[in-house]
Amino acid sequence: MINNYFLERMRYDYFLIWGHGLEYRDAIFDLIREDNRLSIIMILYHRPHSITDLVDAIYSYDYAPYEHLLDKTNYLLNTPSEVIFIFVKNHYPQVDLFGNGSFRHVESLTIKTLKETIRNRYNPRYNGKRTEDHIIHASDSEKQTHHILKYLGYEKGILLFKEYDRMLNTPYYMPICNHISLLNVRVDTLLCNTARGDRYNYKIQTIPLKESPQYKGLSVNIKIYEEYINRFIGGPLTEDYSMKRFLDLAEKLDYLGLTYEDKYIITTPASPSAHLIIDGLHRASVLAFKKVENIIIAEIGN
Amino acid sequence: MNKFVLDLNKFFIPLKDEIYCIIKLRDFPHYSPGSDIDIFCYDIDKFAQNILRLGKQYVYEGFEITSHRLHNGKQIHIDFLCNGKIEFRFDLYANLPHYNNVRIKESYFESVIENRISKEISSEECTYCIFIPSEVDDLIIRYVEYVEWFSQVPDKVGHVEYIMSRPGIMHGEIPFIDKLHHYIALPECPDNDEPVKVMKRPSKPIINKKYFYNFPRRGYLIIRNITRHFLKRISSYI
Repeated sequence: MINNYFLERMRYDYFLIWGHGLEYRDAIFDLIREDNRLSIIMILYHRPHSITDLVDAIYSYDYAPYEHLLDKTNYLLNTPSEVIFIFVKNHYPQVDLFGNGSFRHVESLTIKTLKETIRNRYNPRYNGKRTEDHIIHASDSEKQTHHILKYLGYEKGILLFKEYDRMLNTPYYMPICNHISLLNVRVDTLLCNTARGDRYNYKIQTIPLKESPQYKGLSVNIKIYEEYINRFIGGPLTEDYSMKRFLDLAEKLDYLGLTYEDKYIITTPASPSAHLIIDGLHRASVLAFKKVENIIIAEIGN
Repeated sequence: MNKFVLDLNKFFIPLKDEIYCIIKLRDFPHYSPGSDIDIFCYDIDKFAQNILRLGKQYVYEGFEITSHRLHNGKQIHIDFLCNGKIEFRFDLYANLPHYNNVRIKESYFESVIENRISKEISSEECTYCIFIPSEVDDLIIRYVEYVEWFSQVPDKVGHVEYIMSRPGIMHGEIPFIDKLHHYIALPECPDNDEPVKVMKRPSKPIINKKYFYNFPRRGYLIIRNITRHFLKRISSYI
């Protein structure tokens, strides 16, 4: 029963796809993307040392009594030891009280409804009915998100997402920039980093923009880009990349125009005549594909 | 016509709804190369973002735009450079600048912004408003400038002359003194200064009876010595 319906400011939550739900990964990503109350900000694949430790970490901040959790999580001990964390910005949490007695707790209705939708569709079934061997878990509070980030090795916890350069609207993984230069540069002076190897064992290589999977995806075959994303998403690639989004971008990009007004391609100096892209590789690839010769970039330094 | 000239109207027309105050308005919207404009604003990052957005067209015209954060992000310089030299600078403040020779309450920053007044500017495109300090705050800011810099820049005395020339300043019609006294104090003494020696009240009267009785003789001697000294000086001119 819903009581005391009240709104809360934007907050950060996460979803966790357990090992037996990984085959539905793309469908789950699409469901989250379709919900305009949520924005995916980080995707992480994780192989825990033991699934028991992970379950303990996930549920250590849970509201439910311990005995209930033991029953609830027993099935997880037999699932594959690989999970996906999907961290989201929850623009419209709709925080409310749910449950009764010792199970009464505060939760985001936005997260709860989506979680139930995903469970209804993809939880294992027995005799045609949905089982409670959930393929997905989600946070009840931002505190749980903070705790899980620290468990995964992000010492700053939730501050990882909250501290960013508001002048450039930088992504979370970039520090605040003390020195910025807006420059007009030739597209063929742009370099980028690309991953080689696999999701868990990779190296980063710096290459010219026109040799990147992003540019080749547009200029040669989009499957080059798709295969690159599938191999590295959740590893060196932690943002929400998808082929559909990239093709939409290629069609609609108006760089530094109305919808991308303050979204500069951000670089650092690679050499006196070259610029290494830190953020905006997809936009740069689209501009290069469209034969734009010069673009404005924001070059940062500290 | 020099193509490397900024049209400051283009920056401030879209900013009419922002909360800011231009502190030193000289010949706006005209400027001389190498000059700057000081702006107090609450949201320094957003204001800087607006300046970059509005200014990026100049990058296509050959300018380079650089931005520097100072003082833990409480001050941002946005420079428009032409051939490596600063053509113009936007100096954005999120709090009061630091002063060495005068102490000002931090809350004066908000007071300046909250009491700002609008000034109409006519441009080719339209007539719009910019925001500047109220008359009282303008006088206080000039006073602070004078106190802070007059020993290094004697021209700053012009600020004092300006203050004194305002009609009504001497008769309290402009509440300049009241607000000044509310927000400003003398600077603290640095730790390495010796304490000022305070003269103690003498335990004995300076002129005691013995001195008093001897005064005629002592007085005669003093006057004699002074007279001799004076005559000696005069004789050198005769």
